[in-house]
This record gives sequence, C-alpha cells and structure tokens, in this order.
Amino acid sequence: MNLQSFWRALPRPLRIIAVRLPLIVPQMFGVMLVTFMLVRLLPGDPALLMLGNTATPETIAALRERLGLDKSIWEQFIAYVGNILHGDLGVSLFTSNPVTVDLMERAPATLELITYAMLLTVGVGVTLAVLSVVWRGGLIDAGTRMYGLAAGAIPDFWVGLLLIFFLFYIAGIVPAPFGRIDALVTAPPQITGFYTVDSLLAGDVSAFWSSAGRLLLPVLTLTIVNAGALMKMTKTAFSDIYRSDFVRYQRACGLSERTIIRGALRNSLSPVITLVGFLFGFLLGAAVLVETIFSWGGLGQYAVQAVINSDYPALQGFVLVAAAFILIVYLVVDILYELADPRIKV
Amino acid sequence: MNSPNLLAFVMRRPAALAGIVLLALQIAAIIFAPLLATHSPVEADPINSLQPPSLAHWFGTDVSGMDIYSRILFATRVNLLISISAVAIAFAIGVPIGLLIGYYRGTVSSLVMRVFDFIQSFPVFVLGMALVSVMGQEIWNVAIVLAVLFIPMFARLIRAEVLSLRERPFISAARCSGATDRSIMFRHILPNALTPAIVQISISIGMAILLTAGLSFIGAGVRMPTPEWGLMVSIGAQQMILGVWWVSLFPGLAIVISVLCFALLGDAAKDLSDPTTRGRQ
Amino acid sequence: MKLFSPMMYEARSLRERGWSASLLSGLMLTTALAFAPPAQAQDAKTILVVAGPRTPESLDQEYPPTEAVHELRRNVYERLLTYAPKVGDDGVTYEDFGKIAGALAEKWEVSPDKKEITFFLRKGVKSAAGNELNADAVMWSFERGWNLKSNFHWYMTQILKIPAFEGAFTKIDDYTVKVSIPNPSPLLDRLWINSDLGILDAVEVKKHVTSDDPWAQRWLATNSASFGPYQVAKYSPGQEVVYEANPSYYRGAPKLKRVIFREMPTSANRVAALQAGSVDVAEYLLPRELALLEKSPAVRVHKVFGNYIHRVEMNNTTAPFTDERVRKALNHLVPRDDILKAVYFNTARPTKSPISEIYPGFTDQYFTYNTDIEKAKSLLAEAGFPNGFKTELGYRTGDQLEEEMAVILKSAFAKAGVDVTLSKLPASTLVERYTKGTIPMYFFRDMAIVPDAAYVANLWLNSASLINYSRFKSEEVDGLINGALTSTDEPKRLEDMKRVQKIMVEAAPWVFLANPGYQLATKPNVKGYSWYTPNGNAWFDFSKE
Repeated sequence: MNLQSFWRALPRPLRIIAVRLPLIVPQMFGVMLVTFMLVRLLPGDPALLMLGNTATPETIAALRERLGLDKSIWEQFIAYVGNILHGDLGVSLFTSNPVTVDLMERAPATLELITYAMLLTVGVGVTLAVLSVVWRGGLIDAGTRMYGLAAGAIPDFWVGLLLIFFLFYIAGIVPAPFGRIDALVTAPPQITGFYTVDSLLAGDVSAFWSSAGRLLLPVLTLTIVNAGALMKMTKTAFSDIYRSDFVRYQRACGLSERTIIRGALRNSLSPVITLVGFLFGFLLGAAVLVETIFSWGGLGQYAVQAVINSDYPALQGFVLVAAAFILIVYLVVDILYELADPRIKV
Repeated sequence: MNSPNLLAFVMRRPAALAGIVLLALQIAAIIFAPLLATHSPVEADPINSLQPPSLAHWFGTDVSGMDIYSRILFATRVNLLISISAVAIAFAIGVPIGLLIGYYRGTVSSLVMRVFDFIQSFPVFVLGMALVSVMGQEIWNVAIVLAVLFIPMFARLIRAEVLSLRERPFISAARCSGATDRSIMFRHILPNALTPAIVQISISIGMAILLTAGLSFIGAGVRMPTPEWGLMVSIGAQQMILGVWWVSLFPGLAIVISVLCFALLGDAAKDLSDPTTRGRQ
Repeated sequence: MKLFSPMMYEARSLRERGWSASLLSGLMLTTALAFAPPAQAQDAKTILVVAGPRTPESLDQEYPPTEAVHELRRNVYERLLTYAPKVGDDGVTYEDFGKIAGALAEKWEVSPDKKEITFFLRKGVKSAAGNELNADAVMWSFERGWNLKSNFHWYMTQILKIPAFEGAFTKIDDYTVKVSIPNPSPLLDRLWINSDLGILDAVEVKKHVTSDDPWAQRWLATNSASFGPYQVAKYSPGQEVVYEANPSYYRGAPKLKRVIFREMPTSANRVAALQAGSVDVAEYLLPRELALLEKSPAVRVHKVFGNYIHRVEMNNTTAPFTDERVRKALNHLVPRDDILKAVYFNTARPTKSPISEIYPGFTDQYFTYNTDIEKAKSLLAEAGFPNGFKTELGYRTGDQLEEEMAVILKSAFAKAGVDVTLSKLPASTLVERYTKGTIPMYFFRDMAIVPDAAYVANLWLNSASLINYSRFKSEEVDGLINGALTSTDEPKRLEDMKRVQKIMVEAAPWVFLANPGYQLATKPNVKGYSWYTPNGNAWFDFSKE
C-alpha cells in the first residue's frame, strides 16, 4: 500500500492532528530563542541589586557565578535549552524557588479566574446574542447593541476599579478585593488547585464561600469587558443562519422554535469556537492587569514582579509557558475548526 | 461618492453622527487645550493633593496636586498621537507584506504567517513592559511596540482579500494582456483589497488607545508626569479602595469616550464600504 | 455536534443561579465570621497575623541583606551579643546603644589592646530542634560564613580587616570561642550584635549537607535552624511565612506561639485588611494611609523616628554636578515644608546631616539650606547656568512615595530653569545605572544597621567605599573616616565625625530630603512594640491581650 492510499485510509481526525501537531516543535523553539534573547537584552544586573550594601568586586563575582551569569550568551542559551528539555526552568532569583514550582503554585489561581471568566463570558454572550436575534427590534436587541458597542471601549482595569469602589467601598456587599481567600480562612487541600472545587471536595463550606466571594469581582470585570465581543460575533453568525431559507422551511414544517434555535446554534458554531479559543489566550494576557488590581497571586502578578525585579529566570519561564499555552490553544482551535467543518479537505 | 449622498448617509445614522461629534470634540481638545485648560497639566501642588471636584478644580486633583481636568485635555494629544502613529506605521508596513504574501504563496509566505502567529502568541502586557524597559519610556517607543502588535492584523486582512482576488477573472484578463506581476499587484489587486484594511483603521486606533492605557497602567507606557489617560487611572488606582474615586473615574471616562468615537466611526465606515448596507437605515 | 446546545441552557440557568449565589455569599460570609467557632477565639490571643510587602527572598543568613530578610533574621536567628533594652518616653522599647549585653554569649572579654574578643557561651541554650548551643556550633557558623564569601565575610574583612580564617577564629573549649583581629577596632564588640551574624544550629544543618553542597545552601534557603525565639514552619516565597515559637528559647517561651506573615504587595490592601480585621499588624504603609488610620479607633499607629535617610544623590563626577554651587542651589530649591506635610504627613523629619539622627555623633548645626528660589538662581548663575540646565532623575518602579516626590521636585527645580526628565526604572536597572554612574540624579533610601557615625560615614561617604555611588571625594573626609575606624579614642572619633558632617553638609553631594522614620499600624490589643536598627520587628517582644 503506497503512502497516498495509506493517508486516505486514516480517519479524518487523525489526519488533521498529524498535520498540525509537528508544527508546534519549530514554533516552540522559536519562542524559546526569542524569549531568551529578549530577556537577556533587559538592562539591569540582578547581582548588583541583590548585593546592595555588601557589594564588592569579590561578592559580585561570586554571586554572578552562582547565578550562572558569567558565561557567554550562547553557552547560557544551550544550557537553558538543555535544562528545559529536562523540565528545569531555572531558579527564581527572588523567591529562591525553582521557576517550575513557582509557576505551578500560581497557575491554578490564574486558571481558576480565566475559566470562570470564560464560562460566564460565553454564557452571557451567547444568551444575549440568541435573545436579541430571536426577539429582534425589542428592548433586548437595542440594549445589547449598545452594550456591544460600549463593551469594546471600556478598559478592563477601569471597570475593576469601579467595581471595587461601588460594590466594596460604597455598598460593602463583596469581601475585601484582594487575594483568593480570606486571610483567616485556611485554603482547602490542593486537588485541582481551584479553591472553589477543592473546598467543595473537602466539604469546607466557609472556604468555598470565601473563595467564591472573592472570585466575584475579578470574574465580573473580565466578563463585562469581553462578553460584548463574543456577543457581537455570535449575533452575526447566528442571525445569518436564523434568517436563512432552510430555517424558514423548518418552521413551515412545524418544528418547535426551541428545536430550530438549537439547530441554528449548532451550525453557527465555527466562528464562535475560533473566537472562544482566541479569547482564552487573550484572557491570559489580559488577566495580568486584573490580577494586579486584585492581588490575585497568579501568573500575571508573578510576571509583572519578575519584570520589575529583573528576575530573568522567572520572566523567561512565564513567557515560555504563556506562549506555549497560547500556541496549544490555537492548535486545538484550528483542529476543532477543521473537525467541525466537513467541507475542509485535509 | 459625492457629498450630498455622504451627508444623507450620516444623517440617517445617529451612531455615525455621534462618532463625528465626539471626534470633533477630541480635535477641539487637541488644538485648544492651552485655552480650555484651567491649570498647567504638569505643575505639582502637593498641598492641594487629592482634592475632590470643586469650582477650583472641576475634576479634582490627583496625588501630586495636579489638576485632573487640564491633564485630561492635554492627554488627548498624547493618547491620540501614540495610537494614530502606531496604526499608521502598522498599516504602512503590514499592507505591503500582506500583499506580497498573499500574491506569492509558498514557503516564505507560510514562514511569515508562522512568525505572525508567534508574535500574536506572546503575552502582550508582559512583553510590552519588557520591551519598554529595554528601549526607554518614550512616546515613540510605545508607538513602535504597538505597531509591532498590529502589523500581523493588517497583513492578514490584506492577504485574505488578495487570496480571493487573485482568482478573479479580471486578474487573469490582465495577465493575458501581458501585465507584470508588479503592476497586477499594485494597480489591480491593491485598490480592491484595501477596503477592509481601511475600515479596520478606525477600530485599530480604538484598540491602540486601550492598549496604550493598559501599558501605562502597568507602568510600561509614557513617563511621569506626562498627561496620558491610562497613567492617570493608575495614579488613582491605589486610592479607589480608600474611597477616592475622582482620580481614576474621569480619565477612564475619557478613554471610553475616545475609543467609542473610533468604534462608531469604524462601524460607519464598514457600512459605507459595503454596498448592501450603504443605503440601509 | 452537541457542543453548544446544552451549554446554552445550562449556562443561562447557571448565570441566574450565579447572581443570587453571589449576593448570598456576601451575607453568608458576614454570618460565618460572626459565628466563628470558639476554638478560633482561644487561638486568637497567641496567633499574630502580619501583612507585609514582601516575603523574605531566602531564609539563608548569607543571602544579601534586603528589607524583608532583616525581619526574618531578627526572629529566627540569635546572635552572640545584643544591646540592653531601654524603654523610651513613648513606651516603645529601644536598644540602648551605650550598653552592650550578652545574648548567646553570657559573658565576653575584650583584650586591653582591643585586638581580641573572647565569648563565653551560655549553657543550656536549646534550638527549636532541641540541640544545645556549644562552641562547635559557633565555629561551624563562622566557617560557613567565611567560605560563602557573602555577608559574614564582608563584615569580617571590610570592618574587622581579618585576612584569613586560621588564626582569627579559635575554639578554646566547648563553651568558649575567641576572635582575633590584626588591628584594634572600636567596633570589635558591637559588631557581633549585628542581625546578619547569627549562630546556626550546626547539628541540624549538617544533616542536610551533601557532597556538592557542603554548606547546605539549598536546605538553608528554605528552612531555618538556629537558637532564636522562632523557627520557620512554612515558607511559601511570594505568599506567606509561618513562624512557630521555639518553646525552649533561653529567654523564655514567646507569648505569641504563631506568627503568620502574609505578603500583600500593595499598601492600600494592607490597610483594608487591617481595617477589616483580617490581619493584626500592617507593615510599611504610606504616610497618607497612616494619617487616615490614626483617626480610626480600631487601629493603633506606632511611630518612631528611626534611622532611614531618603535623599536624591547626584553623580558628583558628572557635569554640572561637579560644581558645588549647582548642588547647593538644588538644595535651596527643595520645598521641604511642603514635602514633609503633603508627602510624609509629618511622620518624617528633614535630613540635616548624612548621619542618622538617633546615632551617637549626629549633629545638625551645619545645615543652612532654606527654601530660597532667588538664592538658588544666583548660585546657578554664578556657576554658569543662569537659565538652568537639563538633567535626569531616576526612581524605582513601584515606589509611590518616590514618584510623588519626583513629580514635586520636577516642578520645584523648574522654577530655576532646571528641566528634569523623570525616569521610572525597575530596581535592578536603577542600581546598575547608579553603580556605573550613568544616571545623573537618583533617589536613594538607606539605613546603616550599626549605630556608629564612623561606620555610617564609611559606607556612604568614604571615596573608597563601593556604595558611595555619588562618588563624592574629599581627602580630608577619607582620612578622618579611616582614622575613626581604627582609633579607639572615643572623644576624638566624635570630634572627627562632627568635622566630617560639616564638610559633607557644605559640599552637598546629595539633595537632602527627609528621614522617613518607621511606623507600624496594629490592632489596639497588640502590645509590646519595639524598634531595632535593622527595622525588622521582633515578635518575641509582642503580645496580644
């Protein structure tokens, strides 16, 4: 059996994945190289900063040697790549922890925030879109059009600050807006890393309410700003299908409205999947601002501190992991897109 | 399109009208800032720090005692300058690249597309912080960082148009009559491919304003005490939880109004360019 | 493909449920807090929750001394000697700089020629792990410090001028150790009070030594082993540190059994946490926030004038700061009263000397810089800058106070035509630039731990000092400082340091700003506030009632 017939005999999903997956390798290598170079270009000598008053040529040299900063750029890069292949992202200059440990400790915080934000964004966005198309010309339609326009113009950091002011300072209905859980409540034992899930699994009700309460404002902030874009996109895709001839035919055949809506949604899937994937990656970057405002203790805050402290290994580790995450998300989206649309040939 | 039709077009759309009015307001703020301002935008007056809005300071004062209203006016210049330059640079570089990779498909084009994927996969704010700390907190550095982020977007838009245009019969006709690649690209394809990119300019300016504000908020934008909306919001950020609301509220509103203006104009431009929606209400 | 359809309905009902759930959560949280189980109330008296800006970067004593590690070292490590405590008029416990007392060393003897000090160790001192203090622990601590070429080594070589380990550090018997130095030093005894020179529980640490890590650096970076009042039970860098009391501490078991230190980088959040009652102590708050908190009956603010000096240093070897008149002119432009009132809210005092006010040898009699724009302009004109000049001022990213002052100084200097570009730089960039001398003006906030005028002057004003970033040079000052470091004639040392201060203030290598002091905000039931020169709080002194 020759290569062509072997290829055609493979199931389609496998073919899609086989084509897309290998591309990740050169892209990741490129990410590693650029990250390394960029971070090395950053001005600032961490050894000098750390030594402060006790800096003498001797102590500086000793510290630079300990940090591995005395070798040539290429030697450092080769060592760096070698370490990455062993899963070693280096040791943070400022927390003295291996960067992988630092990132693993903080990743669940960011993921929990982004996941709930995504869920709420998709829920609100899709619902509003469907409602405004089905009840065209109504109040919801006008309202959502204004919201769609305004949401794209609102900076998320500003919304976060306003929510803090109105809901915490004025109304006092939300818990203090910093940290994932109240200082006096112990965090639940880590299973998934999501405080809300882990506290439910451990049966710790106070931890659950505390962490859920603190998720409220940051998740709201991200949702208010991003649901608008998702809603506009879904509206366009959905309304195209909903107003098409075949839906009119379905209605004429006597199908219930509910069934029609469900079917129309299914067909308007593709652009929405792409946008959701893109949004997930985008939120990782946008979470930086929200995490800073709410002292969330996630990856975003870690990265900002790394830039401020010129913590090379931490910064490299973060950028690498973030870029890898986003590349994987794009890959999954591309694959799902091709899977969903049988017209695309592989 | 002749003027009477353009006017009719705008009058039928309150949204577009609102956009034009807001743009006029911003242009007025840019040109007449020194006349409209009540105080110097960079003079610190520590004794009067954190004053709430009053007759003396219409929007109150910030932590250094600088007048917020005057700073918002002068910030229009800074924010718009950075955003418009960033988009202009990205357009000037992205369009030709998009044209070339759309017309000449092949390994180089795929490589360029991968590079774009790569640029767009980096975490924006952290990278922005790092780049600005390398290059320095100058206005043009911020514009360059933003331009780099927008180039892939313009290139992809043009490429998508070029890909569909190059299969059209009129292009084959041109080729049959002996036109060179260069003349096909620039005389036949480009004018037709430009429309979506031009429509995108307005929206991109809005996005650039948001990004500039975000970068300044996190400390990777312009230097103190330059009046810039994002920087002004960040100055007031710490105070919000303590109940001092005016320092962050007003500059944030300015951002919303400005970005909204460009979004409305962008929507109007999109309607204008699409013959099916041009005549609609 | 059923990806979306069920989600739409679930999402909608989830959203509706979500809203009411969030409203409920606020209510439930307050209810939960109101009905806290009784066990918490009992623990509350022996547990202290502290909110600070940074967790220590490493638990190892040989890590460079940053603000965050000073507090760790004060609580976990114990030293050979200490200053006797004295209670000030404000009820705060201070160190009596005139009286040295024994800590791990019960007695000590300084030889008449001031070249030898012998420590007689206290018997029966137990570490948190249960090991007893003896000369071996002390010698191993010395050896480790010497070989790691970091803090210990710096003190021994730069201050005591010890050339080699052999011959300098000797074990006399199981409870006696002797240190010998080549030349007499007035700091021979008081140096051992220093925070960074604690004694390790060698028996415990040696269990974690490996062939490629002979000094257990990896283990000590994240664990503690010493004879101090606390040990580190949990260390999550960037998040929290939990200290647990050492019940066998030789001065008695600490009243606070557990201290939980939480990192909250933003000071406004520390304020909110204190006001909400989630923490007992909030460290390093801004003067504005302290002024706000003082009005609240639920908070008590402790203030001392401390030893920090905050100034703008100028690179004295870069034009136009090579000209003394330019430097004096800038000092006349600073609106000190405005800054003290509007930036520091009266928690600081104006800097009138390069030596900290509370240290012996300080004098303010030579300070004559009043805010006088005309005088500044005429000085600048004399120096050849009648219309001012352009320059750059650097400050640290994340330092709100420095940013506020930078903006004020920019406006103030502009009044004489000096156009200052403000550069906000990440800490290590700023440090690199002022170390290399590529930034003309920069903020510098520092304190010297050893309460001795010559030690302070040597750090910042000696032209041979590596941290004299302003590159000020005066042969006379160098001579006076070097002499004072080796002379043991106390009155002459004080006289010489007075002369050094006169020269320095008149030469104005810095733009003198303010001594910020140290403040701590606590709940009213937190008692026993004390202050030590490294500015780290000693939780052993504290209690809750």
